[in-house]
Amino acid sequence: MSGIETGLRLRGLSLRYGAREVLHDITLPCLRPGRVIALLGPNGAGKSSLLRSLAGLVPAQGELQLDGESLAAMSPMARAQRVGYMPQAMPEAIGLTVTETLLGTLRTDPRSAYTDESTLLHRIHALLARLDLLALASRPLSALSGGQRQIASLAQAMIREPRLLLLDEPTSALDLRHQVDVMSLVRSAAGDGRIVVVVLHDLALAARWADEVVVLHEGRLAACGAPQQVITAELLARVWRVRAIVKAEDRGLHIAIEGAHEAHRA
Amino acid sequence: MAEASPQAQGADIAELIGDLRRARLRRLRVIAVLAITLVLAMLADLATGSAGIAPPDILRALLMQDAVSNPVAAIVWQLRLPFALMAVLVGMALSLAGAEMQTILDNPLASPFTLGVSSAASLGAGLAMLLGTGIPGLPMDWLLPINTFVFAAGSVLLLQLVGNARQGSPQTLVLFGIALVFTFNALVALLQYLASADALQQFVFWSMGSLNRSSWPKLATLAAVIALVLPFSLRATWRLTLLRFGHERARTLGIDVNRLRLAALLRISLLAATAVAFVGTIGFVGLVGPHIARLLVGEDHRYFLPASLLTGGLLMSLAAIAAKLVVPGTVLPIGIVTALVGVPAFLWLILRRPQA
Ligand SMILES: Nc1ncnc2c1ncn2[C@@H]1O[C@H](COP(=O)(O)OP(=O)(O)O)[C@@H](O)[C@H]1O
Ligand SMILES: [Mg+2]
Repeated sequence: MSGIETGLRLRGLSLRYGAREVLHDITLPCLRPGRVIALLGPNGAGKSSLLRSLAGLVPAQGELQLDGESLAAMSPMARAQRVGYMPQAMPEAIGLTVTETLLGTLRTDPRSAYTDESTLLHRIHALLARLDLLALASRPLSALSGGQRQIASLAQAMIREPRLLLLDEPTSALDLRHQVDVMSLVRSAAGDGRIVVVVLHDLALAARWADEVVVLHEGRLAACGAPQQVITAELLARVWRVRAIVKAEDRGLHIAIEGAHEAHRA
Repeated sequence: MAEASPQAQGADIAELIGDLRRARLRRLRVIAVLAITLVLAMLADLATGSAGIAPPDILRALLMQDAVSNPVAAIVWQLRLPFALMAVLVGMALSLAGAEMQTILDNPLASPFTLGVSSAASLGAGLAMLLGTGIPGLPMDWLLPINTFVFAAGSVLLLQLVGNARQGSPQTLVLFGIALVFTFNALVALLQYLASADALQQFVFWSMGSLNRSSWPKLATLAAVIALVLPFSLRATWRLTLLRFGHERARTLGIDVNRLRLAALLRISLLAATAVAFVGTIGFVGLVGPHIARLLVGEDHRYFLPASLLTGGLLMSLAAIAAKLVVPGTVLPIGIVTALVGVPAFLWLILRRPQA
């Protein structure tokens, strides 16, 4: 590993849908393995677009390297093995159980296409146990609640143990306890040497669990760094247009929203 | 189960494996029951007809095919068996094609005919019948199916070209398919307007779908097509299953969605076009067969595709029986009957559902 730059390198990334450019020349400091990076920003800031370009769903300009290798140059399967992507939404009416979903996800990966099934089921079991999803393992996805389906979708993104894990609002439909469970799982996934980029709307959650935050605003990088330094009342006013009191605490931040920020109304 | 202690973890994996095994066994059982029912339906189909042959005589005739002088054997071997087999094979081909179509278009209302396959087939058949034009040097008995096949398969390839050229989403493909349907239908109407009364009647009869043109060589052809296509379908089952999560998710899992779709469209065109070529357009089976299969075994395509094959064969076999019974003394065109048989089967499955 020496000599090769490990981690995710993202330089001069631009993305356009048709004639409209939605990401403008974004450059981030190298994202290291073992780190949880929270991607923040208001609706339409370009968070999902950034994840989608990392996942190879939309062609972007710029330099994207994972462990020194260009993501664009990888074959789709090589890329899929190293990048796990959880989209913002999952179709509702799928007649597959959670176990079958994960088994299929492993079976379509050449590395585990012919592995004997009980080995794969042990892997599935371990992940489901960590996600508190065992009781639902044999239920069809179509018979799960929105939040339960979201956790199943997270499991699908994680089961191949990718190096880079991209999660688009994984906690948006979850109750408090499951938000905490998912975030601590995300932490421990990073602990295994992964890079986790997770889109969150809850700034307090981000401050509590992320090592770094990246804030997007209208397709541009608005701020980037340690949560306690980056998330300030000034940032909330500038990017989210809300008045808030932000207090640093032992573990994370205390954020009290007071109202809309009049001065920043367009 | 709710308050699983750490010690219970060991039991849990056994439970996970047990659940999966049981679900599999249940599906295999469903598939076995479908297969047995299909065989029984075929036997019933053989025993039904205006000649009033007793079932034991039919069995005897089946076993001693060389009894040339025997009129019962002649009826069984030249009429009933080819018709019964053709019904089953056509049902299988259309239902399998429909299952794959619903998956690649991500649309439960899709059928092999959604994208204009049947309209294109009608145009091909119309050209052959109404204008009598076709490939020179071909016997008329085969001109019709081959013309039909070429048009049906051609329409699917046209779709694929459009889908690829514009990186088409499933929705784009469906819309283009609907445009094709209208175009082909207009051309067919034009042909009908210009055709003689005789040819017109022949054509209308053809478009109702009928087993009358069954023959052993045609059976062999259709069986060969199914046998050729099925292994490729089965090889793609996991990839097709993951397609249920949407094209984008499938792509991020490393699946080459465009190639998967092209291969599926080729299979669909082979299956649907061959079936249409031999028996005319038969709607509904390709739509409802997969639905029934989905209700019975879920969407793991390793079970879903074989089950679709069987439900399609079964529906058509039942339709073939009904076609002989609805109006005593007449055999109705089977295309008229498929919906009449399929709808009750479908409703029964949907309505009995809540407890599962
Ligand atoms: N497929 C698309 N075609 C055109 N514009 C899009 C598309 N997807 C997103 N956009 C636009 O790109 C911008 C960023 O969207 P997105 O990345 O989804 O934002 P976020 O996830 O931060 O809410 C928005 O202005 C949105 O309208
Ligand atoms: Mg988004």
